[in-house]
This record gives sequence, C-alpha cells and structure tokens, in this order.
Amino acid sequence: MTSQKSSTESLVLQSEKGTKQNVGKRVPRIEDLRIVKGKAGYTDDIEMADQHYAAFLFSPYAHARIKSIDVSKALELPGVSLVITGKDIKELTKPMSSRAATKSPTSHYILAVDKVRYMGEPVAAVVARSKYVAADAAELIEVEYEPLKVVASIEDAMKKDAPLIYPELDTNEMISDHFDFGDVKKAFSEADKIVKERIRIHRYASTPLETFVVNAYYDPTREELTIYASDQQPGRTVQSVERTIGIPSSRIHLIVPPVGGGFGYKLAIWQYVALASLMSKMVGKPVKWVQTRTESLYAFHRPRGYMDAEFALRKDGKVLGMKLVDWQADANWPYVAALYSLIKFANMSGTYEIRNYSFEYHCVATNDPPIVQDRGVGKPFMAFALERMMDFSADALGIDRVKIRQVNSVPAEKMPYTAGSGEVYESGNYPEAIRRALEHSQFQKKLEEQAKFRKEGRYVGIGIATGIEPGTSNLGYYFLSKAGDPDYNGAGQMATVEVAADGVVKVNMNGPEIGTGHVTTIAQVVADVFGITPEEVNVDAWYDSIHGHLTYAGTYSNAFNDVYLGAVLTASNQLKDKILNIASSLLKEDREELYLANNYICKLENDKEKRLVGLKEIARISYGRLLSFPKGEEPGLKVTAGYINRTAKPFVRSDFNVQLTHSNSVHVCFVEVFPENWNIKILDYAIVHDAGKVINPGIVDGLAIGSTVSGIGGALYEEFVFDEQGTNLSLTFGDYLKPTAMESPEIRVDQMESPAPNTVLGTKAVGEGGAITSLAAVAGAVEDALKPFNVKITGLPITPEKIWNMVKDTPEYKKINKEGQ
Amino acid sequence: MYPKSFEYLRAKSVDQALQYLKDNEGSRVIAGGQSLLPMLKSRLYQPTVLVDINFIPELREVKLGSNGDLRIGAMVTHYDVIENSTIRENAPILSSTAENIADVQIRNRGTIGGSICEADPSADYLPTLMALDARVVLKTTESSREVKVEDFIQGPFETLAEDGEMLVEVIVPPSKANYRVEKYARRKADFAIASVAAIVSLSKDGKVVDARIATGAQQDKPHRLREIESALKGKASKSVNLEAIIGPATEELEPLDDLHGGPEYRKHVLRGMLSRMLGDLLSGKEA
Amino acid sequence: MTRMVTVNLKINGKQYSEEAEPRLLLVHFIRDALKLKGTHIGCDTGHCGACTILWDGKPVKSCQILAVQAEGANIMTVEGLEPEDGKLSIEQESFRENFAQQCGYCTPGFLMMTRYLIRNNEEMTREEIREKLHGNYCMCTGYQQIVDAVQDAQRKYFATKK
Ligand SMILES: Cc1cc2nc3c(=O)[nH]c(=O)nc-3n(C[C@H](O)[C@H](O)[C@H](O)COP(=O)(O)OP(=O)(O)OC[C@H]3O[C@@H](n4cnc5c(N)ncnc54)[C@H](O)[C@@H]3O)c2cc1C
Ligand code: FES
Ligand code: FES
Repeated sequence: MTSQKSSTESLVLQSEKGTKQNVGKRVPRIEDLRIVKGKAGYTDDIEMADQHYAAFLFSPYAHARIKSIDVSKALELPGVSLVITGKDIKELTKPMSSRAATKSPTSHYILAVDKVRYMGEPVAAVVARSKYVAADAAELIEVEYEPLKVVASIEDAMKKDAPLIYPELDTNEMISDHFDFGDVKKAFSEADKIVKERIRIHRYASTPLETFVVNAYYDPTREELTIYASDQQPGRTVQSVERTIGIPSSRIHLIVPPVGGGFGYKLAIWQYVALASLMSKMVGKPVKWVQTRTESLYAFHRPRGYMDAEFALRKDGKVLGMKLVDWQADANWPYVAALYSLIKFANMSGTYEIRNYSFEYHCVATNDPPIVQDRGVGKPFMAFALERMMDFSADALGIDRVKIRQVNSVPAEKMPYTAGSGEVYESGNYPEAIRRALEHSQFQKKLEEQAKFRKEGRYVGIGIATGIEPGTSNLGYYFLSKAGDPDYNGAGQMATVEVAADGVVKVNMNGPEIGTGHVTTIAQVVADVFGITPEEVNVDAWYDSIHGHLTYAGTYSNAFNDVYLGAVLTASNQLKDKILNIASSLLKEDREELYLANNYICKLENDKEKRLVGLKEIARISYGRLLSFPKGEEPGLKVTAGYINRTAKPFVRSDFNVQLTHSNSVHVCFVEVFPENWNIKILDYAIVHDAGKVINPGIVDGLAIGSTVSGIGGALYEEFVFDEQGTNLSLTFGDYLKPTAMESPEIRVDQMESPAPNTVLGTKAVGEGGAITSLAAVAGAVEDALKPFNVKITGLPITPEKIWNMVKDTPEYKKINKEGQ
Repeated sequence: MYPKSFEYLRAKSVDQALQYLKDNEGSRVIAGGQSLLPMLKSRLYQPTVLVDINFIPELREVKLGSNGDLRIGAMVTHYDVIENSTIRENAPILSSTAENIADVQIRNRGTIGGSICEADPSADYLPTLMALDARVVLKTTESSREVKVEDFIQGPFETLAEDGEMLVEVIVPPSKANYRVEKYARRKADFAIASVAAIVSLSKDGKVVDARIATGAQQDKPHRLREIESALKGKASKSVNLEAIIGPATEELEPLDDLHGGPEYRKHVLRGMLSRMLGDLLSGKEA
Repeated sequence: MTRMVTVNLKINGKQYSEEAEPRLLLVHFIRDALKLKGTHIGCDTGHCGACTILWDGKPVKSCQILAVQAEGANIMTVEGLEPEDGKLSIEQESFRENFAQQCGYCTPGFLMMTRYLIRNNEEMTREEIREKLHGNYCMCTGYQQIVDAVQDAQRKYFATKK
C-alpha cells in the first residue's frame, strides 16, 4: 500500500498545475457534438463490402431435447449461404466453461447441442445476403423438440428427483460456500431481539437501447479476424473467441465503436461474436448480426433469488450480528454462474459497522435464461436486503428508521474502515451523508406534510436508504471459488496517449465508450496535463485491440474513474516528460523550468509566460526531422502505458477485497399511493451521492439520476414473467415495462466529495450507485405510505395489483371501503 | 424483426381499394399500420397482399351529415380526432378519448378505422363509440351496410367484417352532454387495465335523463354497462346510491387475465373508476 | 421475389427515387438504402421512439411504416436539423448544454420530438414535456436532463421569435 501511495501522489502532483483548469468543471461533452448530429457511429452504422447477415433460430422451449433439425428448406432459399446447427458446433468449437463456479459443465456450447436449457437459446444459425432473407431462412428451419420437465424455480431444482440441467454434474447446485466473519454466535447470544425475514429479488434487466450488434470478417488473405461489436469487455471476448472457435488471439482484431448503452448487458455478447466469427470464416464473407428487441429480452437478466436474513439487535438499534443465506437461480449459464453471490457478500455490511456476520450462498441451475453482470451485479439486491432488514429491525425495536441507520453507520473517524470481510472502505463520511440527506430532502418538512396528508386520508410515505457503491473489480471472488488460481485481476488498464505529427494530443483509452462520458472526462484530465483545452484533445471513442489491452480490459465494474484515468494519466505524464526533455535539450533550457501551456513549451520570465516553441514544432522534429532530434531520446511521441490499482490485498478467506473503491449514497424517496387503483407516484426524490472527486458534475449528476431511474424501474415496473413452462412472457416493451419520462420523478442530487486516497485523482465509482440504493428507498417509502394497512414489503416489483392483494383484507381497507368490495 | 414478403397495392380511391381486396385472396388493408406493423414484423400476420388506403383523400374527411350525425372517414388519425373542431364540438368525448391513446407519434399515424377493425379488447375508442351509439359503414365492391360498433366488435381481434369488406366511415350521433372518459394503465402508452366512457345528461331539476356507460379491458370485448344505465335513468341524481348499483352490476364480469392485471384487480379498478366518474357526473361537475 | 416498388420522396430537402421491396420498413430504407444512419432502432413494436422522424412536419415512428408508403412524403431526419452554417440547431445546442444524452442512442428521436414540440406548443411545463415524450425511451439518463434540454430549447426558440 505504501509504495502505491507514493506513486499515486507523484501522479497527482505532476498534474497539479493544470488540475485547476478543467477537472471539476461542467464542461459540455465533446462526444455530444457527434451524437446530436446523428453521427455517433454505432456498430450497426458500419457496413463492410459484400456485407452478409446472420439470423438465429431460438428455442421456444425452456427445456427440451432436440430430436432433429431439418435445414434443407432454408438452404434452398435463394440468397442463403450457410446454415449451421449444434451438430456443426460440437465438431467445430469447444464448450464454454465456468469462470467462478467450482463445477464446470462440459455440454454447453455457443449453439445448443442436443438439448435446450432456456427459452431463447439459439439452436441454429443462418447467413444470407440480407437481414430479411436471413429471417426468412431461419423461419424455414424445422426443429423437432421433445419437451423435458421444466425446472422453474430454486425449490424445483433442489428436489431430490429434480431433472438435471447439466446431467454431467450430478447436481443443480453449481457452487455453495459459507463464510464467517467475527463472532456470530456471540452476537446472537447477546442480542435483545432477533429479526428474521426472507427477502426476495426478481428478474429484471437494464435493456440498453442499442441491442447486441456484431460484424465479423475473417480475411483469408491475412488470416486475420476483424470484428466490430457493441462489446463492453473486449479483453474477455478475445479470449473467449479464441477458446471456443480456436482463432489465436494474436489474429483477432476487435474494434468497439461507441456503444449505445452497456449496463453489463454487453458483457454477454461474446457468444454471438464467436458465432458470427465462425460463420464468417466458413462463408468467406463479412457477417453482421443485429439482435432484435425481442431477442434481446430472452436472456441476460439479473437472476431471481432470495436471502434469508437474521439480525441480532441490541435495544438501542445496534446490529450486533447478521446471518445471511443467499439463494440465486444464476447457474443456467456456466460462464457467469456464482458471480452475483460472490460479488455481494464482501460488502454485505454496507455503510454500517457490523463486525459479526456469516454469509452462505448457493448458486442453482434452473431453466431460467442466462444472467449477465447487470448494472451493479449482486449489489442492488445486497443493498435491498440490508436496508429492508434495517427498516424491519427499527420497526421491531420501536425506534426510528433514520435513527437505526445513524446508530450503525461507520463513524467518520474510523475511516479508512476495514469491514468484517476485509473489504477496505478507503474514504467517506457516512453519518455526514445521512445528515446532509435529511437536510437536502427536507425530511422534517416531509414528515409534517405526511402527517397532514394522512389526516386527509391520503397515503403518503417516506423511505430512506443508504448504499455502498463499490468500484473496480479486483475479481477477488475468483480467489474464493478457484483457490490456487489467484492470478485474475480486473484492476488494471492500458491507455495510449500521443502527440500526433500535426501536434494534436490524441488519446485512446483502450476500452469501450458506453455512454458514460469517458471521452470528455479524459479530455478534461489530459487537457490539464498538457495545458490545453478539452476540445483540443482528440479522444478516440473507439476501442481498438491494436492498441494493446489487458486480458480483463473492458468498461465494467465501475472501474473507469480508477484504472482508466490511472492509465491515461500515467501515459500522459510519461509523454509530457518526454516532450519536456526533448524541448529542454533542443532549447538548451533547464528542464525544471519548462512547462506546457496552450500548445507551447513555456517558461516564466519575470513572472510572465514566455512561449519558447510550439508543440507542433516538437512534433515535427520528433517524427520527421530526426537529425535535429536529441540523442538519447526515441523518436515519435506516442506512449502506451499500463496502470494497476495495487491496493488489493492478497487473498485470505477471512480478509479480502472484492472491489477497491467505494462510493456511497443516501436516497430519500417520498411517494403517494392512490387507494382507487393502488398506483404509486413518486412525489419527490433526493440523493446525496459521494463518489469522491467529481471531474464533471454534469456527467456525474446524469449518471446518478439515470442509475436511480433504472432502479425505480426495477422497484416498481420491470419484471420478466415466466409461466410454469418457463416461457418468458415479457418479450416486448409492451410487456416488459420500462419507466418513461412520465413515470420518472424529478431527482435532486447533492454531490459530496470524499476523495479516494487510492486513485490518481481521488475519483471513485459513479455508474451504479442509483441502481443499488434506490430499490430499498422506494420500497421503504411505499411501505411507509401503507402503514395504516400494516403491510411488509419483502419483494419487488411493487405493483398496484400486488399492493391491492396485500391490503384488501386489512381492517383499514374495510374502513375506507364501507361497501366491502 | 423483418416482415415476410407480400405484394403491395396502393389504392387511389375507395372503389379501387375494394376491387383490390376482391381480386386478391389473403389481402389485407393497411391503414395507419400502427397495430399491423408489429404483427407483420413478428410474422404473426403473413398477408400475401397489402392494400394501402393511405392515399385515398376522401377517407380522411370529417363531415356533418344532414341529420346532424358526424361522419368520420376511416383514415382520420387519432391526432385529427383530437384537433378537428367539428369532432370537438359535436362529440367532445371522442376527442378526449383520442388523447388517451398511445403517444404523440402513434397518434399522428394511427386511425380511427384501424383501431375499430383491430378490435383490441383494451382499445380506447371502443367504449366511447359504444357509449355514443356509433355505427360503422362497411363496403364491398357490391354492397354497403351500416352496423353498430357494439355489434361490429365480436371478440378479441374479431369483427363482423368479411373478406373483401372495408370500413369506410364511422357515423357518430352528436353528443354534447357531460361526459367522463378515462383509462387506467401503468404507463400512458399501455393498453388499458380498465377503461370507462360515460355520458350522463341531467335535467334542470337534477334527474338523470340519459346515461350511457361502456367499459373496456374487462371482458373479451368492450361493452355497455346497461344495468347501471337503467338503474340511473329517471332517478334524481342526488338520491342515487352508486355503490349499491355498481357492486352487483359488475359482479358477473369476467375480466381479462394477463400479466398487466388479473381479473379481480381489473374489476376492483373498474369499480373505483365508475364510482368516482359517475359520482362526478351525477353531481353535474363539468369535465 | 416480390415486385420492387419505386419510392419517390424528399428527405432533408433532397429528392430521392429508390427501389424498395414492399416489406422493407421505412427505417431500414433510411438507414440501409439512403445511408442516413442517425435514425436508430430500439424495439420491434413501436414503443421506443428511437426511429422518430418528421413526416410532413409531424413526428412518426419510422419502424411503424413501410418504405413504399412514403411515396411523396416530405421527411426530416436528425441529419436535417443542422443549419447550413455548420452551427448546431437550437435543439442540438440545448441537448448538448444540458447533458441530455449519455450513450446517445435515443438522442436523434428526442431531438426530432423537440423540433416539433417547441414549435407547436405554448410554453410547456416540465410535466407536459414528460407527457409528450413518453413515446421515446431513454435507458441512460432517467430523462431529467432531457426535460431540461427541451425546456431550454423552447426558451431559446421563443427568444428568436421576439
Ligand atoms: C406502442 C403502441 C401503443 C398503443 N397504445 C394504444 C392505446 O393506448 N390505446 C389504443 O386504443 N390503441 C393503442 N395502440 C394502437 C393504435 O391506436 C393503432 O393505431 C390502432 O389500434 C390501429 O390503427 P391503425 O390505423 O394503425 O390500423 P392498422 O394497424 O393499419 O390496422 C389494424 C387492423 O385493422 C385492419 N384495418 C385497418 N383499417 C381498416 C379498414 N378501414 N377496413 C378494414 N380493415 C381495416 C387492418 O387490416 C389490420 O388488421 C397502440 C399501438 C402501439 C404500437
Ligand atoms: S424502433 Fe421504432 S419505436 Fe422502437
Ligand atoms: S442516452 Fe442512452 S438511451 Fe438515451
């Protein structure tokens, strides 16, 4: 930790001169200049010469044996060049394997082989000259299925005689484990009260507006695979494509144009990247696939599951200990099985000082469709369970819901704080965040309004929730499940910074731009290093594997503000050093007196800035006039640098990090429930968000608001509904309800800044916070509004119909509906 | 999602459209296309020929008949129903209804004729048109007939229209009486979980002279609530015990059951709407 | 193979005459045949509004119309917003200044709505703006900064009229 600190410090110091210029300002986004003109250039906007298109046939059954597939009619259709099925896939590719789960099936391929395990699993693929013809061909493929008994729930899956999703594993439970931190037994024996509840989470998902798009071309003349894809984790994709279809990673050129929304969903695209690549190699044509909305709603959601939580409480509200048993139906796709459970439990105590807890998890394979690491992964459920339990605990003890949070918050003076699990919370002031939230939300006034409304027969409620928003995946969870293989790490990034031959500063962040303002944020930071304006920095919004990347590179896990900025700043500083060295030897000036400003190498003379030579001139010399170029320096002005956040601890079961930075927030939600139809309206929503140093408040506010609305969607509207046969009934936006502008509240954000000591600029995670904290704030508010009915909300989404079913037999309901409807 | 191939015929007149429909088996009219396009894209409909009636100016007309009836062309869009002053004046409830449909973009394209022919049990126009005692004019190359909207709608997505028959006009007897029209859905563009259209006229001394009430999204098709209507008619508005009427009158309903709302919940919502909306109408509150 | 139909239409002031298969959606025609890639696709069912264009001045969803139906239509897509002098239009400028986009995939649809709404309404409240935009989905922003942008654009538009 110490060595890292000093290198961090030096990075910050070097950029200090410029830091005041652009970092921290509401700089209008540079990428928006293209976006508002309709020229952002997403993957689907790119066409290759002789472009061909893929279509897939998806399984209508959740669980069935494939008896036969007849592709002859499809092949006869003019314009069709290829049809493949599981048979081909079994011959040509390797199955996918578990990443985190200890057990790994051997029968799950990128196209279904012999059996389908979820509705929407691809069973055959077509390549044709147009998308319309490809769809025609897919429709002509005839598949004979033999339906198998569907495993529709965790309970089903765990029955003795349950059908096995992966017969080769002899069980539907892919992994389970138990961890104890502190002295749980003692905590429970000393408790004044024990509160116990089962908290549930449903299936919902982030549904980026742009679906999966991949365009792959295997060029036989160079034996190179070129791929354009709306991919969030290209480093992984390259590995997975190599492993499944056998093209060496050194021959894979992966490009990611700006992505039309990521949210984790785009981590799962690699399966279709592999398929399109394979088919391109087979037909010798570029193959593009644009997923339709319905296809996108089949799979890659958050898993459903539940947590049995037990809290040991002291009279004053102090939580002495917790016992948590977590069950997730997340093992239907080996690739991501166990991630939801593993990611959440290191942060299970949230912003609270709860030293003693046990955590047990079970990952179960069912016929639910695959999941993906959707915005926050297990953390929204983690916060939902914890915060609901806080509310229930307060109620059971007869103390205030705000008070119990204050009593348990990690005191400011204990920061940096090491949680029971070993997770280190590097900075923050949780009690202050609550205090500010009460003020910012006008909590006291709300209480008075509520009392007034209640007298008028209106059902108005207030909910408060706090949340931890971890960032930068240390991939620490792999250490837990794959002991002995502790080399995975996502806490690193590479970046390329150059001064091009024309004197322009160019940056490639070597990661996908998914809409979270990376281009502008980086431009602000780099502008400060080079003493120019953000508009002058040319930040490439494209990821291109040619620039080099780390194995786990990608825009995920809220890592941008840590490792992307770390890599960009490292490369920028190295390049700046080089430029100043070159200038110093060319000009015969003292290196220490030189600095960069407004595209010139400058120095101060009598306190006045003197421009010595232009950056353009230095570029000309560095690239072309090599005879005048100083000896001892390498020509060219391009630096690719890597960066690792080294604050992760080596793995020990009782003391480890899952993530490396921790933002936090407090949400206060004010709702009304209308007793005619039990619909819910959010009247006010206030957030205090602490994501460390804010580089661009316009961007950070937007992410806080946007992620909160995504959580509100999950809390009130969105759910994938399945029937007993595992049929997904929510396959359009008419049945899977996203909040529109009408359902989204006005949100007031107050940014608090507790800089992170372990990132280069003190920044922390900003993309997931709202999705994590909002669920419990909304649930708490609705429950509070319905207090006269004495209902308990332990699951989501809270729909008017569910509320009606909860209240309709209560005395209060009978009182207000005299006629007893 | 990509539609399957079909032939496309652009009709320039009603007669030409009818001829196209007659000459081509498996043909279908495309009006605003707002319900049809999603069905084509998902390939749930696979017509061989589409007859486009968007290029027939007479179908976009709104006229006042000599007897005072409103005559609304099949291709009059939801937007026009909201904005057209003749409709607003003579059947304001219809304009208000159109405001509840879908969103700005869809209202610019979707048509009243298309909505009626689609016969969605949750469509917004249907209860209103039923409450208005509206009729549709159906034509083939040989015939022309008028049918009450209430009879025209047979069930979910099912109408009396026969092969080769086209809806050309909607005839709406004018109604300037006080009204309420509402739909309840989770989000505004969603099809109703329950909807109510009610027209109530009171005499000067507060007696219910006329009451016409219809509901949608309840049964397999929208329908009039005649039991409630007759219980109200002739009564002094102040003396009506709505709860005593609504409860029994809705008892027999067998509402739809889908993921947007179960039957009991739909019924509950309907009752709440009826009691509030009718309560307002009986007290004479203007919309 | 079905018969191809010639479609004559005007987009962003330019006259086009192109062949189209009857089943081709207008949005695919705009994107794939005319190569105007600013109009996007976000759903199959007419819900999301990513494909919104102006048709004779009024917003419609181009995934809900067949290309052959656009005969004689006068269409404007996001590419037509920018004034000739290369500056941003009022709508574009307001969206940028208010951080109204994150991934930007929904933005062209919202911009077309804004172009229409600010010119065809009296001063709109935030609630009214939200009501008029509910046929456009944004998965990123939570809509608030979009509402800010529309309000701002209308203010700017009215200022030009004074
Ligand atoms: C996202 C979305 C939300 C919506 N929300 C609502 C809502 O809230 N409330 C609501 O009521 N509706 C809603 N709709 C439906 C919308 O109102 C449609 O416009 C309407 O149902 C159909 O009208 P159309 O003109 O588009 O007809 P089309 O889609 O062209 O046609 C529908 C059907 O009727 C037939 N048809 C059309 N016109 C004639 C004719 N003149 N003669 C014979 N047959 C004909 C067609 O062949 C087709 O089978 C929604 C639609 C969408 C896509
Ligand atoms: S793509 Fe047209 S409405 Fe979604
Ligand atoms: S900005 Fe991404 S969908 Fe709106």
